[in-house]
Amino acid sequence: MSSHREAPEISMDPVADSTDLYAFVSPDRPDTVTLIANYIPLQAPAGGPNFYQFGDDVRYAIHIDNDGDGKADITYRFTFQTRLRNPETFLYNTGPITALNSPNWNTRQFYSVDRFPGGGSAGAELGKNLACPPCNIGPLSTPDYGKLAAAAVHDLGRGVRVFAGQRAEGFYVDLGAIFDLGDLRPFENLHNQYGMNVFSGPAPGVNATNQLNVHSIAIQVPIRELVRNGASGEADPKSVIGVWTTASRQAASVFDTETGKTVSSGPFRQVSRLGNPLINEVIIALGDKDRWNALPPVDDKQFAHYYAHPGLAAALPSLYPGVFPHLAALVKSGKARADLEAILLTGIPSGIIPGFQNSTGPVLSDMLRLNTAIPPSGNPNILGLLGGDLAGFPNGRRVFDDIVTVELRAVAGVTFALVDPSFTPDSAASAVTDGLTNASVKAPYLTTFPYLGVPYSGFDNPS
Amino acid sequence: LCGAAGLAGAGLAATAMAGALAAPAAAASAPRARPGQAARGPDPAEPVIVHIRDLRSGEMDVFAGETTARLRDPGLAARLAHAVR
Repeated sequence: MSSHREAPEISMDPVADSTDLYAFVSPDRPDTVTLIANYIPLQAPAGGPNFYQFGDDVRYAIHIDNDGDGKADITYRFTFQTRLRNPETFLYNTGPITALNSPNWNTRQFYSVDRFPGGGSAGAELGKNLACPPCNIGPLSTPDYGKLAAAAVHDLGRGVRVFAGQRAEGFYVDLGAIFDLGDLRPFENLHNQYGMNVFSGPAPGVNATNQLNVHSIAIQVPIRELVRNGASGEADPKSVIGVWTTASRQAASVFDTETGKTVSSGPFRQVSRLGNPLINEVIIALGDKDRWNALPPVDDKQFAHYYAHPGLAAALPSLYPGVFPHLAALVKSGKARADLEAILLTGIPSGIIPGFQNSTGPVLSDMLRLNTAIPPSGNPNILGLLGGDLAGFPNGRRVFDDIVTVELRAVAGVTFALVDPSFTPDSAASAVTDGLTNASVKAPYLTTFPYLGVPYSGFDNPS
Repeated sequence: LCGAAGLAGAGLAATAMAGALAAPAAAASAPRARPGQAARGPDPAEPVIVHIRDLRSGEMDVFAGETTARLRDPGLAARLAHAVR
């Protein structure tokens, strides 16, 4: 998935596993940017009695680079604390939870938010003792979940809002097919099928994340707080920010058999990272995935060859014989994919797409780049820039963007023509998809912060 | 868990009270108090975790609070290893 269980080490540590990152100009407050980092993948809504929660021992962060050096100029850090009202019961709640201070709610979680400027300077506390909502359990335990979740949107002053808690998974992907040797169901009859002739015709995509939840950390911040001073207009490089999220754990841990708990010590070390979607998932090779997760974007030059020569681009022509002849020739030529390097590692400079740029300069760094001066679209296209919508991925990422199709098409060669006009993409490259759209997500996206839908309840899901 | 990953490998980990480490630690890279500055030990309520990376050389990482230090003390490493055998 975007970054769910994408590397061997972090797949063993779900609470620290970043799954998706979003950054977009808020459609209902266009003077602000909304940043959302999701963690804890593939939550079955009925996962009681210990329902999902953030790790008290994990340090979650969202970083912003606003001067193009691949280093954080602003970091928002989120630290969680679980408070147990009654250790004598096995229950998450002992009655209906009708408010965030309900005495019936046994296992509550709170958090603090700190803002750190770059260069290792001291942070400023933006908020503390902020309540998370409970997980969505069902009609008896969480009878008015929407109200509970709304109460967990905290206004921190100076135009900053935060929310941390369970949300419906908004990312849609046909995992089951894609990781079955690159099957794309709408085209599976064209797959080589390894000679087994399993598929005789096309089939619709299946959303593997349907009716699953995640945990979101969302913060909405005035644009002026994120960009460098003097940023002015869409063409101004100072209007562009790079965003990524990390999770860190203390370096040493042992299991204390006397308490039955893990004891940790030492400095916090990064164990998870996410900027652009699907990168550590399908671009970085297995042998480097864990190391990629532990490094900052400024160190990404060493991984540039994966972007320049993605394995997926080489695989598509052999998986779908005769469908991608131009891509096959491009791969055979050995030419570097300057299009993917620009989109994912430096941003798109002016002059490539009329009226658009989100370049952060020459430093190769995997960040989700957002030109904050481009206003939200009144008529969004889920294919973002590929669909002519300058406010969508890869100009940041909105909760409903179809990043799987966008990246499939880009890797298949659609965007190479932007940097090499002599290249003609295969006709299949602009049609390839896993067969899903934002309509594949059952829980409606919200039109206001935190934008991801109300989480699926354990009572009703799976259904 | 970068540090923990090596615990089951060639190295050896031990939780120890701060006092157990203080006396014999003749470490080349151990943090030292500056003159006139009181030595600041770990919080007694917090664990100190030792990861012996190489028993023969005595190279070990000591974790306390949010800090770490790399020590090289073959004698201490040997005594810690002996204590858990």
